[in-house]
Amino acid sequence: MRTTIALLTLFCWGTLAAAAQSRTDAESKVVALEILWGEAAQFRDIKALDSIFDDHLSYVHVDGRLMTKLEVLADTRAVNAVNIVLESSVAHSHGNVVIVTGILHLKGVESGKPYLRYARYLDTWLPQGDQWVCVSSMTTPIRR
Amino acid sequence: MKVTAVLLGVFGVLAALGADSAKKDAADVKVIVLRLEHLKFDAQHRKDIAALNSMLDDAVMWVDPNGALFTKAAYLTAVHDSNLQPEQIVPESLTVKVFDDIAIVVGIYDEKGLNAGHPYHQRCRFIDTWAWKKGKWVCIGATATSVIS
Repeated sequence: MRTTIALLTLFCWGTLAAAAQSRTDAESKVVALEILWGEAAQFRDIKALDSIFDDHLSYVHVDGRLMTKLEVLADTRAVNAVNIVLESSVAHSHGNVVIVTGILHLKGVESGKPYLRYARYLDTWLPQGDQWVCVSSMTTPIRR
Repeated sequence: MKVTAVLLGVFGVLAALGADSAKKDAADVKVIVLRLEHLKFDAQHRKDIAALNSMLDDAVMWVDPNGALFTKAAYLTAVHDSNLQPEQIVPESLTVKVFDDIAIVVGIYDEKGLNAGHPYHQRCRFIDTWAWKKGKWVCIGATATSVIS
């Protein structure tokens, strides 16, 4: 009897630990993808961005424009180089979805004048096959 | 406030009764989530904390149009304590994309009212993420940004 209870306890503990581990893994993977996204946008790596975005992506640019995946990729090709630094990323998984938020530092040149902007992003990620894809993203300028 | 609470209750029961079909049929999900969006804006307008509490997941991440991040508790406290007295919050151009247990709503809301006695107006684009959890749809992520220059 005691052995059965001990085995059941071990089994439950193992299951819970595995669930906790997979959740942490999902959040870690998505945070890593956010960093990759920042680098891909900075270096205009369209192929990498194409693999990060779901085909049905809903994207709201920092200036408030609503864009499709194709529009985001075209915009990335067209704009001036931007230096992007991510900080304070927080991820939370809800079953098969991960929500991530963090702060972006955007540094670049616009109309010949340098700028530094701070903005908060909130992205939704879903698993697709053996990878994660972003299905929605909005970046909001931070008013301090 | 009571009307919203009753509607949410009835809506919750209906959703629970038809749980599987509501979860699996994308067209049904769109109708349900759009209805919830309207109830959410109505609750914000009325500062109905109980209704908002039932619609927001405990782990919701809420980003306001100033870029500030709120937990659920912080957001509900902010709504309760706010000097804002919204006269109207009108959602427009809502679209819903369904990904199995997740629904993404994109739209614009137009809000007018008084802030500490002074008129204010904000027009914001928003994205809300709803998830099917424990037999009902709850908001797990909400973010907005101003579209007035």
